[in-house]
Amino acid sequence: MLARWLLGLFTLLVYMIIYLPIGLVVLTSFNEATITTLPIQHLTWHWYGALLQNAKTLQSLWTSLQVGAASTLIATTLGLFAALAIVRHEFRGKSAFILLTTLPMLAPGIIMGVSLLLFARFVGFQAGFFAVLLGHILLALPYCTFILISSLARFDKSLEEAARGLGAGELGVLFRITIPGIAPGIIGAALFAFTISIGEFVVSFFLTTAGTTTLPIRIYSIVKVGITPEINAVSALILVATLVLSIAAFRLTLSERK
Amino acid sequence: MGRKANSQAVHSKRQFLCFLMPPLLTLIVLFVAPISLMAIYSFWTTDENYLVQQQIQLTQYQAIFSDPIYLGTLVSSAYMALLTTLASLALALPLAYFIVRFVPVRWRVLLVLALIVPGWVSVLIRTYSWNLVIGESGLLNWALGSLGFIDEPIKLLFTKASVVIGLVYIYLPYMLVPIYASIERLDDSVLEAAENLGADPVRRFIYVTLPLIAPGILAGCVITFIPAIGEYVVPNMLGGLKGMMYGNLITTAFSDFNWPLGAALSMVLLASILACLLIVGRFLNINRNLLGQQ
Repeated sequence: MLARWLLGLFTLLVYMIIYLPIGLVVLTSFNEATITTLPIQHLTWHWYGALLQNAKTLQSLWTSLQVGAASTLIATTLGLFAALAIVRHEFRGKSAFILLTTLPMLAPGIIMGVSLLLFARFVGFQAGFFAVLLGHILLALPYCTFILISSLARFDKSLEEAARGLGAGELGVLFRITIPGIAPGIIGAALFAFTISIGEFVVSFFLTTAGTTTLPIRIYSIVKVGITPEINAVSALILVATLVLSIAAFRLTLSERK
Repeated sequence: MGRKANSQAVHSKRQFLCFLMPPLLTLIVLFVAPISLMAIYSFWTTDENYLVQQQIQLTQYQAIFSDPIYLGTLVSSAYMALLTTLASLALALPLAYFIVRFVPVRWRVLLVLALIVPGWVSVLIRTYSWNLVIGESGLLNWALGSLGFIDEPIKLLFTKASVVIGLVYIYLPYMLVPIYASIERLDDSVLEAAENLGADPVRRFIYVTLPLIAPGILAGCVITFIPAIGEYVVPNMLGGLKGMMYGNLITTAFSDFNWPLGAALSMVLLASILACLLIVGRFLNINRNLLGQQ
């Protein structure tokens, strides 16, 4: 009984430690003082207003959204292809292909960033928007693949066979039966890819150029100079957006299991 | 009939290649080729104008193995990653155990979600947020100061300790998920049997639960240690000079336009990670063989 209470108390403490720092970010974003100091005297929306005036930060937000949307679309499509090949077909080298899909998840981000930079420069590909986009596709692809593998494995294959038996072509089966059937998994994978892209730092750090900074890079360059409440406001906004997106992604992947 | 089946097989094969090729080519172009190029690059050198000389030489590796800063930082990064792994384990194990054993099923998913979801917020923001807690004018110093425990702020930021705190914060979800999954899969009847045979809770945990969840613990340790040793953001934002890690050296080589050195440093990191994986894999095999023989 005592052990149970102690464990419970410990659990509560860990939860508090997890939420304390990000809670502080949201709280200080409403702090009127320019230097982040405690205790907070006056609350204000001022920094959110200032944010809307900051052209550079808004520009980087726009870049992030573009990279996020494009990499999500491409990574989810590629992930669906990979999952279809893995779940629906037997082939030589299947386990090697699965291993290859897993490896980018295991390598540290810095290795991916460095190697992509070297490769881009070597083949004469310009750093910038498209380089960052390709990097984000690579980072999201393994996660999309594995989410969609589990969706496809749960999806009843006999529905596809029935449609084929009734004369549907392969494309018809794919677009009319399979894709609608695993729609929650696809949306879940897409939200996951978008979350990865929006928060990604290290790979973008190596592949970005001055004109194509993503939001995390912009935040980094401001934080390096000095912490301003404006940064807390951006961070609070990203935080809320990420929480909403991830909860949506999780609900969708969970709802599929029922 | 046979002809139809045959054409269907050909069709199926073509469809399969349509599925397989795009992701396979993507992985080859964006992952296999860059890593291979990096391996080759690490044997090249630069001249006095920072121009890359494409001749196979061991210059970079000689530099890495003769200057103690490189290997020293690698060792201290490994040490910090190890501390991170142990601290995450110490937090995750009791937590996962409590959730599975004492929390009703319908609350469990919500509690686990509440642990994982903050992990999807940008690493940059989560790392930066610790500035507000342990910084000189942060929450910790303010609280301790106003309670009268300290006269001067504790300088916790920009030390090895602050880096490990940040790393634990970032990688705790990596440790939690496999451990939680392995505890949840535990068969209750085994524990009941141990209880009926007179084992007290502590003995039950050490002799029954722990060996059964060992694979989950090991998996958690591996996927925490590997990214932690190559981490760049956390030491860069919370570490300062004292808390520098190997990732900072790689970036420095690149900003000094010594790309072959950066490539060689990256290869050394990759090789160390592979070595760790092989050792763990071997350890697992030995374990399995021992269990098999019993």
